[in-house]
Amino acid sequence: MRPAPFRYREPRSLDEACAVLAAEPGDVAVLAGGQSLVPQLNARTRTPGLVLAIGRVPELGGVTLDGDRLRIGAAVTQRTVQHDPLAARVPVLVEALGHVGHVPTRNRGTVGGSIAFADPAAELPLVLLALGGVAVAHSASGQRRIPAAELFTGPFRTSLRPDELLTAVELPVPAHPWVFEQRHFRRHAKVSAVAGHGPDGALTVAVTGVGGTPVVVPTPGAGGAGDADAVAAAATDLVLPNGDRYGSVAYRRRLVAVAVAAALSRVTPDPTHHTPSREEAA
Amino acid sequence: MTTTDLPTTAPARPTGERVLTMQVNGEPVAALAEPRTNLADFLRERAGRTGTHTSCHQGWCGACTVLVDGESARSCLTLAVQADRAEITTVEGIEDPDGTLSRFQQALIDHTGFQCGFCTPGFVVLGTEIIAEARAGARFDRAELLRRLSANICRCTGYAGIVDALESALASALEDPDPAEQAGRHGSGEAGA
Amino acid sequence: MTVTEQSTGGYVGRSIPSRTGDRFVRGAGRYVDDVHHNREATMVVLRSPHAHARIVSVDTAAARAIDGVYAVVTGAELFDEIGPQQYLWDLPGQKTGHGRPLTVDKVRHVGEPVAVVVARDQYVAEDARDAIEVVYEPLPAVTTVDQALAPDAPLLHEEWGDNVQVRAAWPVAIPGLPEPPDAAAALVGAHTVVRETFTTSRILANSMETRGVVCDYDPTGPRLTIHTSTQSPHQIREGVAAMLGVPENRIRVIAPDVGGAFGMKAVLYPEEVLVPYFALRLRRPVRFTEQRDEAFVASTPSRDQRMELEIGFDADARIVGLRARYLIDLGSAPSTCGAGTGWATGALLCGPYAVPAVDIQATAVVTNKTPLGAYRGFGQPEANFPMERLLDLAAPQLGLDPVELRRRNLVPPDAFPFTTATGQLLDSGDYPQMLGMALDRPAYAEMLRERDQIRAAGRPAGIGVAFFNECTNFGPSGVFPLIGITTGGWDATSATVEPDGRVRVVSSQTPMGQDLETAFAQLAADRFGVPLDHVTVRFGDTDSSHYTAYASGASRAAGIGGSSLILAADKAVDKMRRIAAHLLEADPDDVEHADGEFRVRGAGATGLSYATVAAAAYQGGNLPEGMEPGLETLGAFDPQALAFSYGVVVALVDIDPDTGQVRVPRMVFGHDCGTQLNPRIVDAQIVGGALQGLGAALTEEIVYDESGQPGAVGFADYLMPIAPEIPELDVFHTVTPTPFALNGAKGVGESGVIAAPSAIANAVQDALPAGATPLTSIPVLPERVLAGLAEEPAR
Repeated sequence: MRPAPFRYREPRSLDEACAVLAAEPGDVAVLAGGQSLVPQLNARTRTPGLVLAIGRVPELGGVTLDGDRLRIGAAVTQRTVQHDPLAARVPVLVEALGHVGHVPTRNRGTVGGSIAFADPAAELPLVLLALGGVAVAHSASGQRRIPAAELFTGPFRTSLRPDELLTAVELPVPAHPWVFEQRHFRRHAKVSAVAGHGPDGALTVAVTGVGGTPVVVPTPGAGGAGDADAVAAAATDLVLPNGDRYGSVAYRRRLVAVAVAAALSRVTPDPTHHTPSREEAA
Repeated sequence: MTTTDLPTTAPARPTGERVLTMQVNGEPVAALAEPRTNLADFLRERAGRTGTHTSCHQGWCGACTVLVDGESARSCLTLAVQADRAEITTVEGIEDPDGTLSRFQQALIDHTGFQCGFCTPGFVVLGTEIIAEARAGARFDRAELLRRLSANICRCTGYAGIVDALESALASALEDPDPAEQAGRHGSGEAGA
Repeated sequence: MTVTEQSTGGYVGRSIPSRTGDRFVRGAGRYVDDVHHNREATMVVLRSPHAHARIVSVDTAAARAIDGVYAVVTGAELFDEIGPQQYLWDLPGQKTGHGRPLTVDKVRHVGEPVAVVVARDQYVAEDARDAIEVVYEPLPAVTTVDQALAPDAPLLHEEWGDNVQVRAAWPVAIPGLPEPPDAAAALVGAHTVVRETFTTSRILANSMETRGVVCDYDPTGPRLTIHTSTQSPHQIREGVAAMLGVPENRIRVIAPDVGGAFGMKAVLYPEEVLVPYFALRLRRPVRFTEQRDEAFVASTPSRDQRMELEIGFDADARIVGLRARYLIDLGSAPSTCGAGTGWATGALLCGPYAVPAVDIQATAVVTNKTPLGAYRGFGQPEANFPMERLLDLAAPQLGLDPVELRRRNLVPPDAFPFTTATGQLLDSGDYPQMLGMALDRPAYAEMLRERDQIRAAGRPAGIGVAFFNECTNFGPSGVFPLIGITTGGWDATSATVEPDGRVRVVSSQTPMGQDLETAFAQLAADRFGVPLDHVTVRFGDTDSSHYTAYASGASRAAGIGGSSLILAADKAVDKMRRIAAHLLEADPDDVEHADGEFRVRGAGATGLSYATVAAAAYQGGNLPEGMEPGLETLGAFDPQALAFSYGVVVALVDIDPDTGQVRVPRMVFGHDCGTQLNPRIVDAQIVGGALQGLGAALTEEIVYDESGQPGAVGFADYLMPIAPEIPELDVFHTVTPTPFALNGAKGVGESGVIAAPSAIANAVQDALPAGATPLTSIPVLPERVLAGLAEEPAR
């Protein structure tokens, strides 16, 4: 279980990285923390001609707050974000990060890497979608801002072009507390739900682990006390029939309903109130 | 970070091999490696530190855990070239220079936190990071420790001896601070998944 | 925690800290993959991606052309180079496969070795492996025992004529002895008969260290030094010698620190022959490290049985007869272990219960899966699960509490030694006392309270109990041929008093986590009467440890290996006594051995130290008439009979009604393994084994799809227990020494896993609505639990 041979480039600037991408015709794998890519390389399920390591590109670092938008450089590790005082302004992100892998993988894995990898059960793409965040991409021809709703096109697929590099993600700082809930059986049938109220007070619920991408659950007119069941039911309808041994479609449906119900039980339009998750409460 | 006189990017040889330099347990190591060489192989075969074990090469088991610049990392999921110029601490670097065991190492013996010993190096490194966080102010209850330990797999012990050892080492570390064990940099604990 | 005080003094019986810890926590353990030789090459195996296919062609040209590749070889090219592997368990009538390390004409399971690459390192070897082009013609796969037995089933081994590898039946009629009782008649006459069909899934030991082999080459002869991660160095040497045609005295096999084994490393594997073959062929050292994805298809899994079990009871709820029909899914071809685990299931099916009449028939069939082998428990968990589940199902029909039903049927203490209906001799014990003690534990009372609290909080909870005994101290040699084992069942230890008077003991057992290094040091220190730190214990090297056949398996180290150590020590002490008597000019019978000295009894004078006596032994010029110089002795011990450890497991489960996921917050584990050499080690074996049992009960399995692809080739899909899943475990002991070991010790290595799955499954059933459909298979996955919870309670 060792990687096949590849060429390796380690650019020292964003321009250099974009130039490499523009010039490279073959399959390029972008290496940030490597916690998703290297397992594939080791198993030889991915055999890129070139590995482009972005860990030493200075423009990809940093967590900054610009007004009400949190910007996270693509090479910033998950653990750094988890402990970043600015990122604490988006508690649902920090809560979700606690579910991503383990500390040793979060120490190296990046927020940008997880989003670009677009695992259909991953936590961070869900948060980006639910909050209406933006992915910032650069190429030799310039910058492009991609709304989360247009980023995730399928399992492990995004709308990033082959010559584009994800350079940052931006998340709006929510005015009200949002919540994250996850249910799984030893990381199988892993479903997650994010819920919260937008600036206009409208309820948003998004789920992942149900199909090829994270999705926003239709919540027509939801907000009343009796609507939680309807939202949970709407979420279960989103589960696509691709079960595995430990997570049949029926089981995923059950878990997504449980996760959505748990999220809705915690979410509140009151900005001063945060209900702990059951892990926090335990 | 280490200081060396090498250029920022050593010239690549036709095979793609290049010279990598690291501080491993405080000693400088320089060796040729292909870009595809993982850090575990580099440490075991180039640096001669065979205490770091590999078991799954997918990041699931944690046997290969080392500290890279003070933070735990899966050395099977880290290319050696990514750790160029880094400070690496392997299980062999946890004890004091005079051979005195760390509190957690000693506690593992006292609580039989091992049987076959193969996963032990990964747990030693994992626990060392947790104790460093505790020294920096983080607090862990038993459930939290179990979540943190779920990063690694042990097949022999049933984990009981490992968590008992960690609880005991944490308690003693907080009673009697010893700066030598303050390896990590993060200041607060967190819940694992 | 020990209830009965142990009679032995000194070091034995004390929880001495592990001697291995110091090197393990420093990363100074030395495992096979840590061994390197100059000029070494790395071997990688190309394995079949198909479950069943004919090999049309293998093209190795591209692989051979890669820089750094030293050899690329196919099965056809090796067929005449390496002889067939022999069975360790050669049950009467067992059919055999090709026995070669590489297959030739067709593949019979995903992962079967097809070709081999030897190259500069693992990276280049994998490059070359991927460059080998094999054309396969897929054949229909046989993936279930039912498919295998269907009349028109595709045949794995055409020459067999069917897919049945062997059958076995009990009782075994022995000429000259009375006819065994008629189980059929007993069942017809029974007051109540219960029957159900149970399955135990295919699971894998998954030692954290995968298998590995490193072979050094020495042109003298030539000679081979093989480091391999094994439980049985001498058995590996025999196998390599036979298959390669190299005399055994030119092969040295070393098992260094073994990173877990659990029975899975008890027998010879193809790579253990291929690596030395290439070392000879290339005249250089060769290494192999099994990768984790290979381990899931190349290391032997175990269990995988389906049993229809029927038990009849009289009006007093006493068992009158038992009938069992079961199938063992052996995988594609028998491993060296043959159908051994399946045989053990039948032979040990009665477990701790007095069953007067049995009618048991076992059928071992081949399917297109990885060959089955040994794993901790060796057939006994497969027996315990049907038995303990069926007793729970019978109890309400008999109007009894499950505990009371067990109590009535356990072999009573005054019946030992007790011969079971399958011919096993149970040596000793007090089973009902053990059962009663479990329910008297404060932890059990705590468990009852916690169950009620969980239920009050709206979650299902239940308690389950299971009893077991464990067949340990595997021997004796005289019986082995009767059950198809081709080797001896004894074990050996050599003891040396060095010239400075310190003691070195070399055991033929192999540690793999059970800390024999510490336990045997305690035993030796006591026997020699010297301080513990005067003793070193060495293992695992065929050049220094005496030949043994069966080595470390079947929980036999403490009892059999330990007894051989006692024999060796006593011989050495006796020789020293005679030397001391000679030096003191006394009669040997008047010389006593105490406190590390030899002195004339009652003389009051200072005695002779070990160092003094040893110096004389090695100087050699002043010894008793006719005595050979030196102080090295050998002890070999062959037990008269098996020893049966036993115990009880009580488990509490807490179910999340939303997700169907089961937690086991508490277990009570009562155990008796006779004399405990080191209670700390005994407890560690039980705690670790119990958690493996929890995995078997709730999460672990390898399921093959209809095309014969395994559902798990890594830890992502094979769900071994993790730290947050551990129960609060209350372990208690009784001590009933076996009369069949010199130290009274029975084994403990496998006890943890045998009944834990049954107790947990019984607890889950107890948590489900009354009358819910019986749980009949493990693991019990969340969806099965949800289905059970959805059933209406019986009226």
